[in-house]
Amino acid sequence: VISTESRPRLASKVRLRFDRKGERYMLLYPEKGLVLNPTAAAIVRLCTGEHTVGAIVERLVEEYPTQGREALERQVLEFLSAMADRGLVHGDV
Amino acid sequence: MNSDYRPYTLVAELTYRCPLRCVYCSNPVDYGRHDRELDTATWLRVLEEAEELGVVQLNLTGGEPLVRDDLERLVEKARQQDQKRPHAVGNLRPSVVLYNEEHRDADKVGDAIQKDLKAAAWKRRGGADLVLVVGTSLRVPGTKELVRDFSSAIHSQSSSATHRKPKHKSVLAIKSLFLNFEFPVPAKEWEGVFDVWIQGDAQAFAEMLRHQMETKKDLGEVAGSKRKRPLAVGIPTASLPDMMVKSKRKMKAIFSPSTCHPHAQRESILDVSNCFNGSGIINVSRILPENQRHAGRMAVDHSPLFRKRRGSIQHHNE
Repeated sequence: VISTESRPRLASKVRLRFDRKGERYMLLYPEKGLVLNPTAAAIVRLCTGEHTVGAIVERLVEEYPTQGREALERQVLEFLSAMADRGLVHGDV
Repeated sequence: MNSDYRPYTLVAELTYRCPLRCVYCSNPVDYGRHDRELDTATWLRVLEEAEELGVVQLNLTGGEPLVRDDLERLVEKARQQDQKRPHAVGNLRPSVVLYNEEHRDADKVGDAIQKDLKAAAWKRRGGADLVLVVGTSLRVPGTKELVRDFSSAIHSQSSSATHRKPKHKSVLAIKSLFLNFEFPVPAKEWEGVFDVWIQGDAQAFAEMLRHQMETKKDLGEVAGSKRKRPLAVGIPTASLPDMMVKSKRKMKAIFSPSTCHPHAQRESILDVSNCFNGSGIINVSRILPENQRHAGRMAVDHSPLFRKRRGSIQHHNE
């Protein structure tokens, strides 16, 4: 379960890779891949296991000042929970 | 070209050679011939073409890709295509877990083991008949723990089934068996873990068992008896000298007194090679301690060793 105290990191089978042809980020894992939109990529790039979700939200607030902080936090948690459900992100506290 | 319709992944089956012969593998069995593989130059070209096509993921597989002499060269080329700096040569690391390293999926492995332990302890259907530990000298902490857990699970099964019919009373309940050239250092931690310790070549033992089962089947057919299991379980002479020569070391069976027949007073070490009588038939009772001869005969009848096994647990490691 991902909370604001979680320190999300990519599962060891997953690689974040820039798709030079499509000019976008992709998550690659065995036999599958996931195309990330720019905001998803912005979140995933911070999933290194060092930053808490709270810290990630703080960073994104600076990057996307038009979004409200609360709305941002809700969306980040929603996205990371979906990723965790797919087994792509682990949310160690 | 529309970038949505392009290959994303290149699965490069570099070779069909493999040191393993796993029955479930989809690797073609007759392709293990070296001259049918693409050469280094061709693979380098393929990697370049893959990059041009926009491939983002490369699987170097086989067969066993590590048997290719040019694997490092190919990996380096792929990294170069990916605009990464080259690895130091010899830095390839297959995805294996070394001793005392934490397993990536430790949690899942733990879950599976817990389920196996539960199942092993079942008394009736689905429960294990025997814990057979082969091919490990039991030095790695994780393995030791696993083996002890399984042993205690399967023994918990027998202790709860003490109220049995009298004719089963003298049966040696062999629930756990250890088979290896090397034994672990004798220590208190192994007390009561194995009912039977057998020192010798695992392959030779398996052969011996197979012969015994075949002979048993033959005897049963010849006698036309209603007994499901004949009393004598034998092994043909012809195969014996070979086997003993091959295994070099003598095969010994040690029955530990703690979990063996209650009448057993001492630990006995018997050499199986001395157990053959003039007719070339080995009677299993002979590998039992002298004071358990009678029980030994019964053991031949009822020991789980010679019954068809469901779900016996084999553990290969080290």
